[in-house]
Amino acid sequence: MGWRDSARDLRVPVVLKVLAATLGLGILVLAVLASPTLSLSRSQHTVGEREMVRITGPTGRTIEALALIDTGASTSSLDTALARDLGFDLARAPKVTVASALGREERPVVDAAVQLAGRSFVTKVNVNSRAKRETPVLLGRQDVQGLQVAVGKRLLTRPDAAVAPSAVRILFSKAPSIDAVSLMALLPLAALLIVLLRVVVGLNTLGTFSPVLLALAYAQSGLPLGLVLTAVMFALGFVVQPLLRRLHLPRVARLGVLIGVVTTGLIGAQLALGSADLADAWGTTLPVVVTAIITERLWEQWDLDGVRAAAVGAALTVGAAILVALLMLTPHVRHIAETVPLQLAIVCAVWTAIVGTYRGLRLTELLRFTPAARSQGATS
Amino acid sequence: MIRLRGWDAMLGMNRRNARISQENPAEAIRLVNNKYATKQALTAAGAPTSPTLALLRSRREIAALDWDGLPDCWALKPNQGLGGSGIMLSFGHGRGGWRSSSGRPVTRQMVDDQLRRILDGEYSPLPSDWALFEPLIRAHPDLARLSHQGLPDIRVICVGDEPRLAMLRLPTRFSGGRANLHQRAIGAAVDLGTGRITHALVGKEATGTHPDTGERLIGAAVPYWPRVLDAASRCAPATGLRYLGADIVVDADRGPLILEVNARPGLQIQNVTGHGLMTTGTRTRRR
Repeated sequence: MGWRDSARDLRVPVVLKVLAATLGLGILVLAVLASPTLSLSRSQHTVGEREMVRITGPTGRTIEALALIDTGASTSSLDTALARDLGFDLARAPKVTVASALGREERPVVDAAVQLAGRSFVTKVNVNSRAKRETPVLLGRQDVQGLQVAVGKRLLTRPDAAVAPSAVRILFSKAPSIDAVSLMALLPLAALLIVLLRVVVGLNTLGTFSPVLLALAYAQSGLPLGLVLTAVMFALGFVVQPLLRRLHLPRVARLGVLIGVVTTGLIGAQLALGSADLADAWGTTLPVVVTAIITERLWEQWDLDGVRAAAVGAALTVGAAILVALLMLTPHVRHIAETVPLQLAIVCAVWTAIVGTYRGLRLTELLRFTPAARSQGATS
Repeated sequence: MIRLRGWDAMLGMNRRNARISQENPAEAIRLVNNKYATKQALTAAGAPTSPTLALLRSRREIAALDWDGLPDCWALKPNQGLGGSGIMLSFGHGRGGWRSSSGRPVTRQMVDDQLRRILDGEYSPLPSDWALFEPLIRAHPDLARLSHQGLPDIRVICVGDEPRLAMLRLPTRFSGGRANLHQRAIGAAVDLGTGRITHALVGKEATGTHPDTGERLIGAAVPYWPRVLDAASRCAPATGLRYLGADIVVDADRGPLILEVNARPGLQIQNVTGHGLMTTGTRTRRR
């Protein structure tokens, strides 16, 4: 696929571009290899503050759940509902008196088989209601002896092995997994992917970088819940839009009302589902303003180009968001973002600039201009 | 197998955007986004446009508007409107004031409200805008015959003062009277040399006749074709754009008029005409 440049075009020689791109890769590889935290992160003995664990009860039933690794607590505890699911007989279990900030409390104690970061052990855990807590399981220091806890990190291991879980696993685990510093470093990478999708592939999403913000929400809340909530927001926006149009509100006011509607939907979902971790994950990460703007764009596209174009636009936006989320949660990518955030950000900016100089046809344009190219090829 | 020779000529979005940012100066783009200023520049360059009957820049000017001085048929437009939004048309005297194309009454109150919305910038990228009254354009019978309601227009892509590709956009029932190809208006390739339609597309399908009227399209001629091309070729010197799409209508009485000059013309014209915009244009240009 050749393309001709006009004489005025300031051209960066291709050789230079390739050189800059490989140089970036080299810098990243070197930085990761030379990173002082490398040995720590790769150590068999490091876990994050939140990890997925597998717990097996007396009936042999095993459940995977998110655990808070809390070295400030001595013993471990388990949520009552989860314990019942696992088949523990709480009525006949021996009781232990636990002193907490709320006073003294009698709790049943059970023997559970726990699997964390490739280690299996049987331990005594007390059972109480953790429905209002962030995680259904808490592991105290007696059960994590010999492990280092990396402050601020999450989901560094799988229950059955001391390796990072795959992107798909995290995306379905409903556990916020990206800490703030890595997040900052991952944003330029996500932006690079979006630029690739737009400039080289030719995907047109609703709003330029809205998929990135949706992806962050999906990564923190888990995909199933994220998709359902996105659909609910779109539907709510759609119900309200015609009303707003009839009122002839200016665009600012329309968006303002939409933000109110989206927020109402969020709070409503939280109250209906009654789950505290939803508030934690979505309350802080769901881009409310962006969702309002996406809904507005969706409606505009529906108005201008019809239902199909709008549906395609929405599907592409959510699809791009899932792609971005998968990229950001890939073990190697997370590792790079955690060890060399600065270098990653700089190299991504350079790569994005290089991708931006692409002037050829976008992949989707190969499809779009097929009739013209065919007739041109036949006549010239 | 894809023929590489054909693909070579296709102008893609990336290259188009680069070309626009290199060849179209910012002040020229600002000029063509302003309909009133564009018309003045075009008139100064001897290019035909629709005159401005009244220019309203503030509510005080609305209050002072000489309503009786307006003709029965007019078009009310926002000065910086996007994609043809915010336009109100009067097709003659009617009950309570004027009437729309479908004969429904257009009252003074409705016009007043529309004027205020335009001034409040509802249809513009800016927080406030001006409103223009222009004489209503009625399509030349030769073109009105080919179209279903609405106003057909001719899009001419020019590089400098040289027309490269031209297509006629004909509204259909489906497009709701709008000459927008995305909404399934017909795009008909017009041969630059003869001004005759060579082939036509609705959506992605080729058609020889208008789907609503059954009128034969192929071979039909655009009236005053040399004047249409002449008007298009004056856009670049008048506006300072070097790559542009001129939207030209042919009025029943006044002949070709430049409706709008586009600094970022779309690429669908390549599919309609079957010619890429990357070619030097020697084959398509026979003037």
